[in-house]
Amino acid sequence: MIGNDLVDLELARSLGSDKKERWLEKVFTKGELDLIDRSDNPFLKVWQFWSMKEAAYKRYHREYALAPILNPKQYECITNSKIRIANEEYLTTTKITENYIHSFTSASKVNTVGITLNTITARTKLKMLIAERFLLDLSKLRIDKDSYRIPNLFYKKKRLDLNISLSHDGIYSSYIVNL
Amino acid sequence: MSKEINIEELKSIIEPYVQNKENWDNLTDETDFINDLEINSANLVDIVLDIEDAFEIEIDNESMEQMLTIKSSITVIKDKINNK
Repeated sequence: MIGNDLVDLELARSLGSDKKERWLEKVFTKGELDLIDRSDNPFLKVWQFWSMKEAAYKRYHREYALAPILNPKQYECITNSKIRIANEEYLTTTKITENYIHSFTSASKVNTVGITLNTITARTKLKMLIAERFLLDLSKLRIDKDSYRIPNLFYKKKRLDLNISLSHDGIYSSYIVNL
Repeated sequence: MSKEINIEELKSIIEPYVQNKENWDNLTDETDFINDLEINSANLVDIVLDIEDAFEIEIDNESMEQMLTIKSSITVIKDKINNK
């Protein structure tokens, strides 16, 4: 199973700061707030942890086919690359650039990760990748979300047995797939 | 005593975060904040905070979990107002 999340840092900087403390308290556990306070760059740490939580949420909900819920505090970042949900611990990988933060978590070691500017969306890129890899007709590939908002790839209306995750924020979008 | 909540007030809280204006114009009880209105997930927490301020209530994490549609948000707000 798999999950990824992307944060556009320019957009993150513009988010309401007038109630920042209360926002942090709704999103992070005491342990996480301590780690954020002690970090060299609390702003980046906040958004790294947020992207880790979102990535882990997507993986967990995919794995157990769960309905959407707003519960960021139930995902607790233990380190920069480890997050706990219920009785599970997921390893995560985060990339931080000047412009965005991208985190993903995957049960499989073999992943293809892509980050794009929204001019060509991650959806399109992912479909192109799959069409090329499996020699499929691109026009017959579709990505649909189920009633729980979990995305899947379909070819000629038949669901492909592939783990995928999509994210978009601001001017960026990203995908990850187990291949 | 049950107090009616002002839907227009709730709408004015949500509107600044809406990215899909077309679905916003066709709002129903079932409208989903992420799916239909394409609200950024970090902003969902801002909406909860704005609702706390506007309706002078405190929303615990358990109640917040369900606040993903207009309908469920109204349910939570009513519950909190009536139990104040």
